Amino acid sequence: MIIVMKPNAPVEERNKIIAGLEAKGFKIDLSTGSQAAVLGIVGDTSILNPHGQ
Amino acid sequence: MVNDWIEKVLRVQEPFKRANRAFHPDDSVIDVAGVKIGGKKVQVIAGPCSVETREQVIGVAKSVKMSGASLMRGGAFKPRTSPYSFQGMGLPGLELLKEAREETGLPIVTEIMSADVLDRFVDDVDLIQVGARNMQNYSLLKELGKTNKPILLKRGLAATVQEWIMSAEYIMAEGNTNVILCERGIRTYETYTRNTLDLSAVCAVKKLSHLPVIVDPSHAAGLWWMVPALAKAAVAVGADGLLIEVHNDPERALCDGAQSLKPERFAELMGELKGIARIIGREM
Repeated sequence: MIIVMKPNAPVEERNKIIAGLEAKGFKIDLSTGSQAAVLGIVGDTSILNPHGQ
Repeated sequence: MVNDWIEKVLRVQEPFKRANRAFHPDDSVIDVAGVKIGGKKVQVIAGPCSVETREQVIGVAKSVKMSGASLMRGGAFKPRTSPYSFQGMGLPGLELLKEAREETGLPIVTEIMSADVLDRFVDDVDLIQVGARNMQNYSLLKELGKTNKPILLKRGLAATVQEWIMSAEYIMAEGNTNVILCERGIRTYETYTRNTLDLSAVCAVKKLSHLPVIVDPSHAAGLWWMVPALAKAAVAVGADGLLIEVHNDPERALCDGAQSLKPERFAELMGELKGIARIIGREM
């Protein structure tokens, strides 16, 4: 699963999301571009709901 | 995953695991009391929409067997659009289906509406059907997942292919991997036919999942005269089987007479289907 952050998302907010996913056992592959950051979530993402909790 | 700072979330993989072809490249073959569904042979389930009388059920069962059907269907519990329509015979209807099985040797397929009769179904039914209207009855799906009975899961009338496979995943997640999918038409703007038969769904399921998929042209069209053409098309696109309504006296049927074939027309159709199966390298 891939999360695309908003272009103006603060680094602290991005880090909160990463910490939350790491706490669930996922590995995060972070790619920061000049406009926006992309998080690659590695693991069994079938337990995650893209539209809610 | 809801956060104001997220632009979008993309899934790379499908959310289903057990039903996913990526983890199970070979086609699943489900054994229904000795009849293999999902293998080289295209299997045909035939019989009346609802069980009405002993003569009707046994008569139709014998006739469809002669024509080459490998399983027999008949509804004992009917989910009707109107509460005032015939609701099915209930458990006495199940007894008549068992008699028909004894007479013909054909395994029986019938629909379960609620888990409170599950024990009877596990004992007496060879292939338990979950109807379109119950496709997302998750508590029923979970209960069926705890059995080891083959389950025929019909597509909901407005369900996407992914929602449909996710319902199969509910059954499989509880441990029962004997799931057969059934396309039966979806709701569209068209009113000429009862539903619109989505044959592309057969191709989609075959790509996404290893589970067998069959087609019900009778409910999809709702018009008996379309059933032979749609049945042939379904075999041509790669369906593993068909579910066809056959009634000895459609004009007087208590349920869905307009979509039922007479036994003679069904026999004729079986011959035509063999020709299609041969062309695409399958057996019937």
